[in-house]
Amino acid sequence: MSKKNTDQNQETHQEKEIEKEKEKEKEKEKEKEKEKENQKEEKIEKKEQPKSPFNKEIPSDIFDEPKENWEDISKVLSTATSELKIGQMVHKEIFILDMLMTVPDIGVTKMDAGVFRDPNELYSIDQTLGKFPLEKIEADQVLGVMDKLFCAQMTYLMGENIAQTMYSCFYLQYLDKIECDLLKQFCLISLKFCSIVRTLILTSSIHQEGEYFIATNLGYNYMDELDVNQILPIITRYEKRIKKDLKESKKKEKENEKENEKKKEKEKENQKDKENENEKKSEKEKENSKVYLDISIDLTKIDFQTFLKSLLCRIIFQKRIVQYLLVKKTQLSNFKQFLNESLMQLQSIISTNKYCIKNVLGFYTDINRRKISPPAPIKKIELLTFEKATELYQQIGKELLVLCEAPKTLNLKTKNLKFNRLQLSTFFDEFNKKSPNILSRALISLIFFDEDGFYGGNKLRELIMDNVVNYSFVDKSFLNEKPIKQLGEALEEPILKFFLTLCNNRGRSRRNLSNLFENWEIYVQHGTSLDHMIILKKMEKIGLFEKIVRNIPKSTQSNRNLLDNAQLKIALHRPISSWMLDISSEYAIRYIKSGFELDLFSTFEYGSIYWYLSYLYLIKWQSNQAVKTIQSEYRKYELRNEMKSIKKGHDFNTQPSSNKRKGKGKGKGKGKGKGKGRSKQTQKSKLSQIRKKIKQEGNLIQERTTENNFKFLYQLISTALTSSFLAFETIGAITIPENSKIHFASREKIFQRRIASVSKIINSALDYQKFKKANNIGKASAESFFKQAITAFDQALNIQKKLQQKVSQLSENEKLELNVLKKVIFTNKISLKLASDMHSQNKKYTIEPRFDLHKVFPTISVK
Amino acid sequence: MSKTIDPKEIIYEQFKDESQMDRIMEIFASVLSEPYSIFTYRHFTIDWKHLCFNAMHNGKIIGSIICKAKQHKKHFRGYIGMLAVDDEYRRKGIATKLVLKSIEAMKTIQCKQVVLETEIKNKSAQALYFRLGFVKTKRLDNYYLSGEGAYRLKVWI
Repeated sequence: MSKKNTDQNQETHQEKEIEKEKEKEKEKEKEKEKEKENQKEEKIEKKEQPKSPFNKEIPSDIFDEPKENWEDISKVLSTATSELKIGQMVHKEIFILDMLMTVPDIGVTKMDAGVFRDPNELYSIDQTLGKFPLEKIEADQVLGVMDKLFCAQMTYLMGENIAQTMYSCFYLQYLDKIECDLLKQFCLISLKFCSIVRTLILTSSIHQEGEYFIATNLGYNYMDELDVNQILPIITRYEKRIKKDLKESKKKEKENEKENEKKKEKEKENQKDKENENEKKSEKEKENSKVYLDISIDLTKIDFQTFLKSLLCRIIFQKRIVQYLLVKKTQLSNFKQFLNESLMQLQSIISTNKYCIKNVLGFYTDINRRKISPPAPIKKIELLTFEKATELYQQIGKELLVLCEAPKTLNLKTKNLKFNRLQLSTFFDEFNKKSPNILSRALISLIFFDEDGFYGGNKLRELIMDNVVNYSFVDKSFLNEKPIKQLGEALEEPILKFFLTLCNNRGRSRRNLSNLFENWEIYVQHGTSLDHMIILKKMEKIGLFEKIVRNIPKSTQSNRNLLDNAQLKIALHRPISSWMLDISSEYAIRYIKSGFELDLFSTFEYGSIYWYLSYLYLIKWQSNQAVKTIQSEYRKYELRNEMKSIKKGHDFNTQPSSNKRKGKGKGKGKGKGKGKGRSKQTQKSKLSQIRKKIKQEGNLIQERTTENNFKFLYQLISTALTSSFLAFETIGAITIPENSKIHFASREKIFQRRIASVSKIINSALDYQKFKKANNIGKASAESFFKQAITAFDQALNIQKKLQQKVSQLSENEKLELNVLKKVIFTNKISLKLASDMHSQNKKYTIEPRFDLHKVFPTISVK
Repeated sequence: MSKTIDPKEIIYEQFKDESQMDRIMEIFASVLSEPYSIFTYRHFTIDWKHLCFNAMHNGKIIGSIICKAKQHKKHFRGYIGMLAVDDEYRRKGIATKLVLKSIEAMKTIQCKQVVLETEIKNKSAQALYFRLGFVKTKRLDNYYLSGEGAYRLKVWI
């Protein structure tokens, strides 16, 4: 190679290297520029990022993008909080500790339902895609999902929230992705059932019962906007389609059987067994699976007809349970029909449950735990098993059937409000004994009551006024007076509310009663002032006012005689007050009884409480008796007036008997002749009939009705128990907290507080001092108390026997009650005798009142 | 097992500050079935410090009572939120003394009633309060997270 060439080569090489170096430098410069730009961006980013209010720096990697869904921020928190003082909190301007009490501590297992227990557990619905089938769903999976949704519905009726019951079903959260439209519609109608139940409960009188039902949606959609009338026709179409297909399938089966028989005959003739068997085999292989409405059926597990039947009963069940809830009150027969059909379909569901897949995919109760909105921390729950869910529905079905029948068996169309009250309260007491489901109780108030009053009955306002008339014995026209009418209208609401408290559970019923008593007190006062008005009117009418005024200067003896006058009794009778007292005493008794049923009273209170209860029964019984007496007096008064008018009307015709014989005569009167004798006879017979009636009235007053007998029986048992517990207290068998040094409230105070709300409506002057005086407390001996108690129990037993003699006239519940009370009386008598003997022998013992037999009247066991 | 100690060694003090919070929460968490967040404790101890008391033994908190008071209808009403005593120190009347302390404090602020809730099954707690004159006034079904019901107890002071 020449020097020139080598030199030239060297030069080009050098140039290339220079160029390379230049490029490198350029790249370096570019990199530098990039770095500068990056630094600038970082600076800008740093400028936009919030400044730390603290002196220490925030860790630099905090603003990097998180690698996983969960980021450990312990370092950040410890840095940020290191400068805080003990107890100091960082919060927004609006910060109320009171409201934050319900917020759960994140990460605390007792409160935070979202705490991980197992890293393999699902915690978000987003993770579930691919883990359960949405397309080409197998038949057993479809049936399993349907049955599990039924279990979710029943769990919802048990008072669990929608998020952990219905929305534990992934299919409900991926409705649009479900290939099988039938399953989609099934999911929708099952959710709609819950939506309708929620509406029913919220509009009923028991809407306050949050302890038994969670009405809040917790951020989940009840699909209230979806009209049930859009879903039902779709379900009906599927129902018809499946029924049609089932029919056709049965037809085909029959046809196939016939063909097979013919083939068999041919086989015998043609001897083509093997070929036919092969054909059959191939046919069977073809029929091992089938796709129906986008559901894959494995015919080796379930035949086609059975699958159709299984689908059909589930669809019809969901349809019916929605339909009967939508039925109007006036169509109770439809309600009953749909309900019965649903119970029938449930039996088919139970028999076909075996075809469901064992472990249903697509359900997990904790799936929504991180999404559920506050306020309450959500606890972990489990859906009811299929067996328990069916049991629950059957129980609810029975309860609802009882409700359907009630309007027929109860005579609500009578105008007798008291009778209606008695019927309904007896019915509800029996109904509530078995702790019915909240759905059944919601339907009570919706079936039986509306704005006007009772189902199928008279308007409540009319009933109230009619009852005031019955108690008043004045002209009905007087009751059109404005103040009376206004009272009638005003009383409608509280009387309806008294009934509606019967639909609540016991605890809430008692609380509601207590609230109602406060308002009722005002009505009682108003009623009393109206009574004065009525009395004056009545006295004016029968001219008694003048009589009294004339008699005032005379001695009290003559005034006392005046007071015996039946007319005065009637006139001074206070109709509205006595009618309201009847209602008041009934609800007061109910309130006190509920205290025993809920086990609110302590043993040391029993003496005073039973004493008060015995007085309430006495008031009730006496007020009934007083009204009965007044009613009877009024009837007698009218009969006497009738007698007077009959006598006056025939005064001119009064002749000695000789005239009668002659049939003629020149008597004083006119109208003589043959008819006169006969008219005297009719007169006499009429008068004798009236006298008989007057006598009967007297007998009627003496007789006690069954209702009054029961009241008397309860009153005697209460009296007996009062004496019993006072006896035990005197001996020292009952611990009295008042006797301890550290006791805050005296028994007197406790007693006064216990009866405070009832005292407002009973308006009696019963207090603790009266209790002490009436029972001679502090002076009477234990022996005398024992004696009194045994005597009272004996009297109670007599009344019980009297009622037992008329057992055919009693209802089933009354018969049961009577038997139980008999046992209570007998057991207590024996216990008292034993206790009395042991006391006389100075033996020590303890007592235990037990409410196993009767919720209000205990049996006392002596140990 | 309950320790044998001289009751005179137990000192009853008003709640001081947040420094005691951890220990108090520890006692309550071990004794009570219902979980409470720290905000619940702060709600009581910040506004009603004078109604909250601790029982101390050798400088250590062994029991605590958390209370508050507010207007209820016509009266001022006290409320006992929580009461707990360390397992080792039970059956020495410590709980009773804590309740007495808090009720005396409530009296000074003109409370006319004191109420609390207790589990239906918790007979020992009920017995403690009955001795002091509390009575059952309401039954509250499904009151606790566990589904258990409660009684509302009340005393008129």
